Amino acid sequence: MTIGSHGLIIIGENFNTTRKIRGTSPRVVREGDKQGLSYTDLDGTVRILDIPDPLPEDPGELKTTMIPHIGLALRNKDMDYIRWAIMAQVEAGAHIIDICVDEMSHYPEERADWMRWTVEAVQKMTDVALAIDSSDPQTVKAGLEVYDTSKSRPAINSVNLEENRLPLIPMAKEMNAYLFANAGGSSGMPQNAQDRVDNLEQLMKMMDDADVPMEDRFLDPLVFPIGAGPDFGLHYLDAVKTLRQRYPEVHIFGGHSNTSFGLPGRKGLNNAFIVLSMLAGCDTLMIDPIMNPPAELIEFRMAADAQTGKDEFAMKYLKYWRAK
Amino acid sequence: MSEPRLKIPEGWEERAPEGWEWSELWEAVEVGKHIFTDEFVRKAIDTGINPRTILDDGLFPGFNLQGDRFTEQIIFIPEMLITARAMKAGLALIRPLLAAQAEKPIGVFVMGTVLGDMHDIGQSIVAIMLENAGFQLTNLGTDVHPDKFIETIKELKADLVGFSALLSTTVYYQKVTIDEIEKAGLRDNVKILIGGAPTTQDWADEIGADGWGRDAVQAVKQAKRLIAEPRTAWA
Repeated sequence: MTIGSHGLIIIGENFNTTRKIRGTSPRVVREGDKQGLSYTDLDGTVRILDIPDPLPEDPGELKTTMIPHIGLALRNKDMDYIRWAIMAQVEAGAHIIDICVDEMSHYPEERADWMRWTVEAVQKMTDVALAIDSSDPQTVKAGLEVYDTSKSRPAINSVNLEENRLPLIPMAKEMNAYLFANAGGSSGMPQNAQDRVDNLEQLMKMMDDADVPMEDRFLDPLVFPIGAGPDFGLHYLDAVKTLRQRYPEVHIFGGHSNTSFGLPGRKGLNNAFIVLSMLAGCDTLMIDPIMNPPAELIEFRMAADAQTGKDEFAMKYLKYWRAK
Repeated sequence: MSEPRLKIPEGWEERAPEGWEWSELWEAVEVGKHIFTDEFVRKAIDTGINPRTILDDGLFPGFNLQGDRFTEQIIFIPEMLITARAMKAGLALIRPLLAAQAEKPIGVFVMGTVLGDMHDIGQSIVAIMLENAGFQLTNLGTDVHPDKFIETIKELKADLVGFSALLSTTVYYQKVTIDEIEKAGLRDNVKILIGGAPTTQDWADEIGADGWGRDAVQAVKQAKRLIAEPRTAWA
């Protein structure tokens, strides 16, 4: 499979149990004592995801109520909603769909069961590559155990310098999986661009030793929200620039939507950060492909490469334009 | 819901010198002007106003107003942060004076992020807010082993301990840490507060925490509630 043949790989981030919708969202519908979340399926049908627990009547309380819709779809085993949440991202242009069920349970064994169930359910719907995402390596392992590699190659999300995650490196090689490596340190988060580069360099050496192919490595220097620190955007972008100079062939990406966490108007903030990230050297984006449509970003990438001498005589751009 | 308003401290004129005005300081804290806040508080100290009065009449009104707006989701995290920073600038000048007057902190608070969790972004906001509210705070940072919590609780004779977990996969260690505190025989001496994005009131109830803070402002409210509740005194 060739992913990102237009010079941009898109990872869809929406299938994550941390995803929540406000109780005041216009998607919330109430009928009698029943309540649900409306959505328009890809064939145009309006459907409802059932919300079993009653929502508060008090408007103040409702405002702070958050509905974990992906988690709810899994608990309800609502296959229509699950399919929609996955396929809407595929249709929008995602090459890899991230799957995170961490919030389904605080208990490790239950979490592993949820990951097994979800991977099997989603693979029945699509052949797109899935990123098995957990901060607990046992959950990642559980997802890989049931992964049908005849359908697609799995991605591991993610290894970092935390000791219990390091076995994921040889596992990536063994499973022929893409490997996401983030800049988390062995005893703390990186505090600046240099920490990010240093930590990822260590991981690059470990991936060399384990013989993980360069084209399967995805480096994530970690995006922190700008609302929590004015320098957080630059820490990421500067790390991307340095890493791109050092490793021309590796994939580099981040959780680009993190930049706008806690701020209003996220689409615009995300779009600006995505563009800055691409200019800094990212060839991969982990985004909400519905909010920030990949088609526009790919066009930007092709045009920018043509305009900055990276695409001689605009040959790639023209090929892209003809195929459009 | 009504729009939060500035609550002007009742009778502030009687506690201030003739012709004194706090309104500029209220606004400075509200909009997060930390340098102006520092200068204004110095002026108030030099004028001889009681440090407790400076805190209650001068610093808290703007801070509380932003706290209410934050709770109502009218303002956003960075706006709360710059207000907290201004408050901290004023408090840095006031705190030594309060201590000199033998005014005690409202409680001894130990906090940290649980074992296996390296996140400190939300935690540092909570730390500033708790200090601003008058707690004597010890922040153990991230990736804190239950033994470290227990050792510190004992050493400082803590009234409250709070632990955050920012990952769904580390939230479990909040339960482990509470269980260890229980085993160490300290459960009745200390009130336990939990927080962090993946946590809920249900989880707090399930693991036997005394309180849950949805955000930094709520964490402080819960801490103030818990400090007033009875607990076994330290020997």
